[in-house]
Amino acid sequence: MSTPRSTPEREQAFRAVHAATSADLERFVRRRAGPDAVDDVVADTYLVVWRRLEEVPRAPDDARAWTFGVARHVLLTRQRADGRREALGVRLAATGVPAPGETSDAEADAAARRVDVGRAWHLLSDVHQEALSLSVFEGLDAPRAAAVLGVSPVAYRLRLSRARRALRLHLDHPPQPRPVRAGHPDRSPT
Amino acid sequence: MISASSRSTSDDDVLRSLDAGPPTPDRSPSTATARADAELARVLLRSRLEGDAVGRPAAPVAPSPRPAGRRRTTRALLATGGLVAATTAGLLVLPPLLGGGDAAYASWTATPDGLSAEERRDAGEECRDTYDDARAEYPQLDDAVAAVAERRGAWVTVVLAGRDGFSAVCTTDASAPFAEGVVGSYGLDETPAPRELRPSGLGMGMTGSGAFSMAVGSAGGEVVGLTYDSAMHGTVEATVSGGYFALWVPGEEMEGWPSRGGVPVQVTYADGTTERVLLTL
Repeated sequence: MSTPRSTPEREQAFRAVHAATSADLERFVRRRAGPDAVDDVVADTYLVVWRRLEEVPRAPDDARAWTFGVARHVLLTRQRADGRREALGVRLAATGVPAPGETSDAEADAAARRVDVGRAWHLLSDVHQEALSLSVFEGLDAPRAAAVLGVSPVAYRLRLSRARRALRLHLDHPPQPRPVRAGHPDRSPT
Repeated sequence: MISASSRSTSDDDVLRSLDAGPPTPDRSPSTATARADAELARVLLRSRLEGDAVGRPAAPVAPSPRPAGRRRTTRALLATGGLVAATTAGLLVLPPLLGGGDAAYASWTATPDGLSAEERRDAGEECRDTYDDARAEYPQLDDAVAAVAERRGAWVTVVLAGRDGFSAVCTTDASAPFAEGVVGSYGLDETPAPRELRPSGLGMGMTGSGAFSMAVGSAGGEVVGLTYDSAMHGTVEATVSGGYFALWVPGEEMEGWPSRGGVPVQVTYADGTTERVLLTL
């Protein structure tokens, strides 16, 4: 994007970027931050967009990925402030299991499937959640997803492949409940 | 046998059904424009208030027109509710009007009405409550009083004024079912000279009822009246009271005032003389 020479041009350029990115950016942040933080993260992101307007790619899809990268940085910075490690997990919506008798068998199977996938998702590392989300939720191709993460497209493809494999592994081999033995030292006698 | 790729596709489909950021309804062009304007106003204001504290080094931003020798401490903005809009020039941030309310400012009046003593007290307390989160930073809020309390149709504007030049502005649509829809800013300002006007908010904003333009701030002791010649609404009378002034009009006409040198108003002084001046931040 060329450098706007005057303030009205710069403001117009910002409006164009906002129009091309705001809806998807809000969704991106919503998946990664608590609802109370969404507005602040989006606002911080657009402040950076304004300050780095000359760096925003011209093509809308590229601009979208670019703003995702900024938002990710904003989120990671907030996490560091909270003392958390540098990784960005991705939230899922509540799975919600219908009560028996309230739905058809097919609907119950689908709901159970969502629970299984949701459980497997939560067993993934943040790195794998991030890789999968950029493909599945944000719908980015490898070069753009790689740009968001600041890695090469090859590295992203490898990461995505491993994430898919890990998800499948967790689905095929769900963790088994640990048997409780009599006299377990963690349990008080009854 | 199910292939790995088809299982991935199936997993993806299930994941999409669990998306924590589902698609939002398409925004109308006018809504999208308003949101872009609001975000732009917010970043311009934050850029000015925060300097380069966020992100990488700032791109050049046009300096705001501020006469030499005038100093103002930082004012903070208030945004309650979901929909946020703001001005391009240091004014306010705004509100959601959740259903009902005064659509398109139909009830707005160019001449303000006063409030009864009880209404004034209630509006002042409501404004104080709105800024509850700021009390730790600004203890002046506790004993601030409503220097300005005016009504223009359904809309009530209050300027709370306290020690050390503290002031807080609230504008609400009293007819809206949720009074938390508030326009506001708060902070400290220097005391103006006897014939001086010092706006703390000046420019265009947006509420659920549409765009509006506002000028609000402190007024010197010899200022007793203020009018603004609106291109859309004719002569608009400000409320001047307790060392403060406030006026606003529906529409965008104060947007971009820096390029025009300021917002022209006519001031009336206590000795009966009048003067045309340009309001700037």
